[in-house]
Amino acid sequence: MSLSSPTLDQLPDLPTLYRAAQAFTASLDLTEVAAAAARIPAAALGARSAVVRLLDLPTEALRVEARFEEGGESVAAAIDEAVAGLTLREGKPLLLTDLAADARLAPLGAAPGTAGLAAPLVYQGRPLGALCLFRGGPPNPAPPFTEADLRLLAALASHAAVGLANAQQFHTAKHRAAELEALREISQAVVGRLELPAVLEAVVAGGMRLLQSEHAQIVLWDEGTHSLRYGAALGPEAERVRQQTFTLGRGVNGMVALTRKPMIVDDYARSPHALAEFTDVQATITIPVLFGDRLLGVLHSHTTDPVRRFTQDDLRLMTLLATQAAIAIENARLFEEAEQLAEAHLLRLKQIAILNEIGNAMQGTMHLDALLQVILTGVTFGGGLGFNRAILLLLDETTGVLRARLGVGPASGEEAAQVWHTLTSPTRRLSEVIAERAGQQRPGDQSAFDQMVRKLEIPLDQEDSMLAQAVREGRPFRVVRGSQPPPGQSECVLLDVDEFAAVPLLAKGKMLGALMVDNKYNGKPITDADLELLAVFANQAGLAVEHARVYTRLEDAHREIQRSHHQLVRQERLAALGEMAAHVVHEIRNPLVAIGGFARRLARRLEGREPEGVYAQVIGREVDRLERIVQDVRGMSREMHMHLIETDLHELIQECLVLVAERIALQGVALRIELCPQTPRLLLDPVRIKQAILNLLGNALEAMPEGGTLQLATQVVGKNGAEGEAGGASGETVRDASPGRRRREPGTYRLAPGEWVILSVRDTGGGIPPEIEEQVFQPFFTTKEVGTGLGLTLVRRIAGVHGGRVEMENRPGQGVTFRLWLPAPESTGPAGAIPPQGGAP
Amino acid sequence: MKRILVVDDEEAIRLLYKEELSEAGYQVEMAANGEEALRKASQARPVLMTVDVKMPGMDGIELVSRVRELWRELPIIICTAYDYRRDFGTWASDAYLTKSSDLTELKAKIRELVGV
Repeated sequence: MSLSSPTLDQLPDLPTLYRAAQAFTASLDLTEVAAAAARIPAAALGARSAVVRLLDLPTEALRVEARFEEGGESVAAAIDEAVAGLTLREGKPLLLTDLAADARLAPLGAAPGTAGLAAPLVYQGRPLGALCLFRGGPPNPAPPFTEADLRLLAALASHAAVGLANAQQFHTAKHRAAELEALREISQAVVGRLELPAVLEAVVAGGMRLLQSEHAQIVLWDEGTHSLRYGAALGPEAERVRQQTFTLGRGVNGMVALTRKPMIVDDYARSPHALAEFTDVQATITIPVLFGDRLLGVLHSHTTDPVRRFTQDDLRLMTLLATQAAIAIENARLFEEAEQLAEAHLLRLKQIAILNEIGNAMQGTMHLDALLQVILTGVTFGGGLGFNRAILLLLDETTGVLRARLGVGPASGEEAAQVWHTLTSPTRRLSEVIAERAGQQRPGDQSAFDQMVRKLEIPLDQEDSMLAQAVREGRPFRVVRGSQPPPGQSECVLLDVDEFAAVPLLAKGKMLGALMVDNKYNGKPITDADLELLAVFANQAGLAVEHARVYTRLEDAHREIQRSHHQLVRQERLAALGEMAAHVVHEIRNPLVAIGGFARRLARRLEGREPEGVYAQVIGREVDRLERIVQDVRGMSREMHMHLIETDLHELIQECLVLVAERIALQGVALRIELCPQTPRLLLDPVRIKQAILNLLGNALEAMPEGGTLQLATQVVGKNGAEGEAGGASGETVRDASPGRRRREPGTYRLAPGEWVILSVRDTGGGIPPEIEEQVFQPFFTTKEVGTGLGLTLVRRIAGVHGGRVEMENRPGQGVTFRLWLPAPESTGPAGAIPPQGGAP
Repeated sequence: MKRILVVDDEEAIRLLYKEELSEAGYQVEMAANGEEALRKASQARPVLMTVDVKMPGMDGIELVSRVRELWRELPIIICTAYDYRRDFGTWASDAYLTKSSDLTELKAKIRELVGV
């Protein structure tokens, strides 16, 4: 078959096409392929110059990828760029017979007679760029290109597009792979670190590597203080960055931190965010480091290279790095927090150990003074709370005064140094120090500081006292000299310190006192943590103090019980003795009565006859004595049968006086009787009370063998029982029974519940030596040459079974007063229940 | 002359009381136990009795209750060496005295109850 000539003419030069296609796909290197894409069409079509321009996607600029020029001839870059743009826009090859004559290109100053040929480079419908060929024009005129040339160029361009697309893709893939590898390495470096400075340095180093830049830095955002601060920097300018201050909204870093949007600046000097001090900076790239929507900082790089620009690729890579950095920074922060927490826990653990140790020591100490010593040792010991000095004050609840009980601490700086030298040696444990101090503790073995502070007394209502305030308000206080209103300032002066702390001592809500501490000698500030620990300690100490007090009370109670037990045993023994004696005395009483009775009769009959009358008197007197002994011993027996009868006390007294009247007269004793105007009726066992009164009278008379004054008085006193010497209605609390009130019958007076009648027996027998005052009520104690020593014991016992008591007032050298207190009946009750006795029949 | 009956098992005591009370102006009858006392009381019709508690046979406690049945108004003074008051009701006697060689109190009590 044969082809027509025009058809043949129209066919491209197949061998050229074949060779060209081979050359375009022989390499995957973009530069090489582009160079071939310029050179081969130029040679095939007799062009003097050729340009391959590729489309830069994000900017849509037509970047020169390859340029071929024969003999240095070329059109201006602006012209070939315009031609390339033209053919791309038109989407078809262009035949330009004279560039200078083309209205679209003439303004660019193309030389007349220059011919052009251009074709878009399109691969699978995607424009890659354009291929442009030129020839002619001075000084080498040439004919314009033909339509056939155009067709050939179009064919060559489509082959070149395939090669270029392949090479581009390969280049991109290779670049991506390299980036990914770099990113992987950087990520490893970044995330593999836990300390924040190391993380930041790895991030910065990664940034430099990804950008192939000579500088990178990271600035951190502090959410707490709302400010930017230096994070890390590498490169020749690192030192300058370290000293730079960052402000939100200022400079590119500040702006990015503010907007949280990345920023690329190509011409730094003209940027509105440029800072005057950075004169050599050409271009910058700045990316926010965000964790979620939380700003952590700003990653930044810049270049001083006049031609270097940061691209979207750079931005993409840096954004990836920033994401990694955010995670790593956050991790580092968490790690740092965890570390701090662990440190705090460790400190807390140490404090708990200290508290525990002091607590153990406190628990082992039940005596208050020793306990206070332990507490203050715990507060001041280096291995304890470590304050320089401490004072413990206890609250006196009745007076409302805080009184210093103990002070621990050196008295001078020299002593402090000496003490701490021995105390802070690491081998010494708190328990040892406490044991050692307890060993040294003796009465009067007080330190100078202790002696000084023990004089300290602070009324709870003292306005300017921080100690008083701490106790009043039940919370700790710290006082710094000169920094606060009055409370505590005077105490600063008193203690001669710049700072002290006071914490209340509480136990179960009860205020016990306060602890005061200072650091007079090392001047260490008292921190919140110190105060907190001291407060916790004070709680513990308060409980221990309360326990010690309870323990002391228990001990006292125990001692009291033991004492009562001994007394009881003794009383039991006495009672058993009395029981036995009672049987004996009963048997001898009848004979005694007979002997005595007849002796008295004899004495009367023999009165005046010497010596028989005297003999009879002696027998009578001795029998009297025996009878008293018998009476006393009877009273000591275990059972004291009470026979309570409403009794007129005054009548009972009169009956007693009848019995001692003779003796009073014999001894020449003056009798003064001062009975209260009321006639108190009491529920009494008249026999017992008579026995008690007779014993008191007998004692008084025995004390005055050579005469004296015997005073016998009664008085009614109120509930509070004010003591009055004289009887009658004198004395404030003596109740005057107004006529008609409470009087049931003339001459009698019924006491109100709670009132007392005091019967006092006062002698002028010289009193008793003070040293034996305590013993007079003891059984078998006697100062008399004759007597059982049971008299006063019996009086006390009789008073006791009546619900009353007996008191002795001794006036050595003068005399003794005994007061027998007898209570009013519990309730006045029906008066008729007990028939009166001793009154008129 | 007012008649008083002294009841006591001890002869020495009876004698002492008789002498002392006679001297004080009373006519004194005596009994050594409860039975004798009841007999003497019904015969002699005393104005007052002194009664010892511890006696062989009918003791003072029984005697006082019998006397109270027979002569409700007869004053009785219990004179004892021992403490027997718990064995008496408050009604039992008009006075309760512990025996003493000094009879001042007894005499005062008798005078108070019956006069001289």
